[in-house]
Amino acid sequence: MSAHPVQSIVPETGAFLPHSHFWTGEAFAQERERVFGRCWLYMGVFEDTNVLTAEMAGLRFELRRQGEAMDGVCRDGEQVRPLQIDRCGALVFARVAQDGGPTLADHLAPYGERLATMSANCLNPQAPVGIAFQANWKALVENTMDDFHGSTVHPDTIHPAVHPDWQSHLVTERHGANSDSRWLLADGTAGWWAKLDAKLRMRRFAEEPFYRHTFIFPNFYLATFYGATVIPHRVDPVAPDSSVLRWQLFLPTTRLETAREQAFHRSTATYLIQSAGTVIAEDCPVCEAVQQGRPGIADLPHITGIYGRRERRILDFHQAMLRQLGETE
Amino acid sequence: MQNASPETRWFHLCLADDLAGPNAFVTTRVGAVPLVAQNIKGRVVAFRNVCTHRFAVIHGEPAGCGPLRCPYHGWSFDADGVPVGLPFNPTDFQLEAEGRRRLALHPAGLARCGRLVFVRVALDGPSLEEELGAALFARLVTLSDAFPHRGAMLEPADDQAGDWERIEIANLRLALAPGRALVLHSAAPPGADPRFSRTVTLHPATAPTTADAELPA
Repeated sequence: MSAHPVQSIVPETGAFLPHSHFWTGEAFAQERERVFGRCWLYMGVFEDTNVLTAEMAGLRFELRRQGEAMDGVCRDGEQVRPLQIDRCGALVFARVAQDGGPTLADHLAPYGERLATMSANCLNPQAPVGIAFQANWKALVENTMDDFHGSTVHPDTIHPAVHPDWQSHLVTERHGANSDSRWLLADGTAGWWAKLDAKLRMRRFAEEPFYRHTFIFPNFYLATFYGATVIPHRVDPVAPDSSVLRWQLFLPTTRLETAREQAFHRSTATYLIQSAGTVIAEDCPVCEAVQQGRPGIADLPHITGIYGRRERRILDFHQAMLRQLGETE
Repeated sequence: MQNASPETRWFHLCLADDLAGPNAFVTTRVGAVPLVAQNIKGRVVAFRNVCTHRFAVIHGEPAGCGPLRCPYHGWSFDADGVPVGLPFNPTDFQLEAEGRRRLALHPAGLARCGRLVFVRVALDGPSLEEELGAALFARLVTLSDAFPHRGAMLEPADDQAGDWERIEIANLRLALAPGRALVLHSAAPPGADPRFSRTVTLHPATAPTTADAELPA
């Protein structure tokens, strides 16, 4: 890997996923077996139904809770395999049962404790949302860990919502496959949340005026606002060139007794869901543009891309994928 | 030549008029390769329509007018394909001239036959004139010069006014009504979406013309 002066990296072949991993059936099948058939995967938060289901890369995961006990299976056509299930706070993860491999705590490191703390705010759930992308799931993962497309892709949404000097305030932690970025909210945005807090008396896991984005390999991230609202996201592979971004808003309030409070909470949640949907709709075309563009330079080995200072998380993800795909057992 | 791989063949893209204005561009796709021809400060150049930063298609529309600028992170490119506008370069990339040149867009083949503009993925290979043959090349030059005006769309199949001569070359079907009209239909190249097909009706210099609705916005 050659380093440009100080800040950016032009990776050499072998240091990032081959372009073909973004559209071939062979790569998709390999990921299905070695990533989604082995890794710990976020399944959701149990609600009243005591049932969670998910589909990733053609694998169907079915979980149920009975009291404190949880069990489940992974269906792969006719094959049915048992699941290992574990929790991080309210967040439920599962993987195809196997001998060895990391514990969930190992897999989430070093963010397990923080995720558990944040997940205490998984209260007042709103209906889950799924948005389809005509792009490989990894294009969405790259997009979500990309810390500096705000001014070009989200000029009227995210960009003005974060501090004007976001570059100075952006803090990114990288720990191999997992990572975390936090953005200082603009004064106006933080003020909006403060007013909301005054009305809703939100439950806060931390007094932090941040938008925080914690990524857990391979396809989960938890977005939080103002140390209160939490939005778990999962990128579900559907086909080599299509995926679904699934997310669920939790707007934790301590005031939900009167009809007026319930109405205000409901309208606020609706507004936040619409806002998040607008942002995702802005990301969709650029993810799809990458999906269309990658095959167009795949025959040119000298075009390897470049990863700037705020894009290292993406290269970390590529390398984690390469490690995971390289594991034979 | 029709049996050659699409990447080595010339495909008709547009008329030179389509690329006459500042920042005018026309795009297509050949197989998996998106291509763009663009006027950049008076030079008409052609590249793979893929940003070298993170591989997004740069111009998503079949035609338009706007700088060669990637929608993802705002990288913009000059007529040599070199990135010249790199947001956050001082803090995030620190690319100097040589580093920028290494990230230049990959060029594509570009050739003109009179006012007809052709593109090709491969840089090397027979020239457009060699591929078409000298006689046909010369005839197309003559025809494209003899029908300078765009006009009302005419469908040769529906036109009973006279005999139409038909010529097929590459992805281009020409229908010629001598002295009256020249209809050019460019089929989308193999692998391309139908939105990359184009039809234009040209009229001779002496014929009445209508407003030009085909030029880029």
